[in-house]
Amino acid sequence: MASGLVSRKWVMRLTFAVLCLAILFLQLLPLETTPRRWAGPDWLVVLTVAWAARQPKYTPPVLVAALFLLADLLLLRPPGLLAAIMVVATHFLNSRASGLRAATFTTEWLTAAAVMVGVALTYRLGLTIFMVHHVPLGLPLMQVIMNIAIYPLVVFLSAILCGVRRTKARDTAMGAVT
Amino acid sequence: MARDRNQGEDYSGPLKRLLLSVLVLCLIGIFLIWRIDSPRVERFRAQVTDRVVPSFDWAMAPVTATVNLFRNVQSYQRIVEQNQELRRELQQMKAWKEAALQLEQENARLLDLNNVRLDPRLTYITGVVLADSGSPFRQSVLLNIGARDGVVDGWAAMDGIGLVGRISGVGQSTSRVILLTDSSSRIPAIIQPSGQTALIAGDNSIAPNVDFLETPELVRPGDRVVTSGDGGVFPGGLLIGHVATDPGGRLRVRLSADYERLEFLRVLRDRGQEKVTTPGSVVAPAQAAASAGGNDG
Repeated sequence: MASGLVSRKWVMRLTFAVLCLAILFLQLLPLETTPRRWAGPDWLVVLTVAWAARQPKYTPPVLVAALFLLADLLLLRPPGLLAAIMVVATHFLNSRASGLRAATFTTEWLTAAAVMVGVALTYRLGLTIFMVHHVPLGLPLMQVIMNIAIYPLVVFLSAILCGVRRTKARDTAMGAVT
Repeated sequence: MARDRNQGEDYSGPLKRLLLSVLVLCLIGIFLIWRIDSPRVERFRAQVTDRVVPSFDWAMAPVTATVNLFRNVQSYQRIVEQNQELRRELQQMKAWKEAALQLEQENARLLDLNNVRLDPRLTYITGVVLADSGSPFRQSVLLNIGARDGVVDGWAAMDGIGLVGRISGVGQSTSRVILLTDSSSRIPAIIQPSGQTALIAGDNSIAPNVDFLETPELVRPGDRVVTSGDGGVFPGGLLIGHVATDPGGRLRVRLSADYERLEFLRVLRDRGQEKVTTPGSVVAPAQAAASAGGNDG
């Protein structure tokens, strides 16, 4: 039983990595070469926050760091800053996981929204402190709102397709055995 | 049970926390290094991109083609209108073609009379667009040509008609073009009939700003904007677009390049202009001139 759980953990970690790479791949497709007036959600952030809030053991910090560093490099962001913030954010959700498990979905959504707003604010603050050139407030603001709006969808899809559900009391008991 | 679990976490807690801090410090370190020594990290970024993106390439081309196919299906619905539009445009083009031919002949005659030698060095390499910037905040594309093909940072990239951007970041087999619309793009330019110099500054919108213009009164909407070649790296005389005013009254450039369809881009080879540094020996031998100057003073 224990080995089954462990192997499932690694399979899900692999799934997470593959999903993140797939998101990066889709973002890099040369479909939009004109500047956009709107900004879609940052799927990578939403997916990571959703998985970290639901099943922290599928999003180990090293994996999150590696994936976001790769994304930083590929998407022309200042390398390392968002990755560091996301590692801290997942750790925060990790430490709240036992509380979130008992909570309703609304509470979870609010927590996730707060985390995503916090991530965006810290990122912008970091850019401002180090005087990195950044874009006007409009697009990032729109992106954060889209992130929050899309969160339930991402949670629903990962529950249906990948079986990422909140651990119930029964599962916790099994987790303790391992 | 739950208490058991918490105790287990407490047991491995400090070690975990230490590792986490080291990880975060490493990432912030990378960010700081990038802030201090940006060119080196940007080279590293180019190398990483060079590794990762071409390995996606086999899947990227078909997926892009499929999505574009579905988009085109929508445009088939108004194919009759388009056809008529095209016929009208073709008619106009024929008239222009006639004018162009006459001008070409005249130009050739005049060049022949003056014995002008055009710059033979402006050759180009054509690359295929592999990927775009992937985020709504930056405007860039990735080409499938790189250092292997002799591409150098700072060269100009054009589509068939107008300037598209400049090379910034070259990997072994890929290179990144920062588009004119990116908010970090600044291109020195001349506005044609009045001959005023300006800076074309991108601001993440489809029409970049015209900045640092000395007398904006001389510039009218519709004037041609071409690169000035100031700074040495960028060839001069490339068409950027035409001046237009936005509703707020600011001058902007309507770009000539077709940004909707960036599939193939030309990268212009430019070795820079040779400079004449020594005075001609016929005018005065270098040594003699210097000593004569000293005696006079």
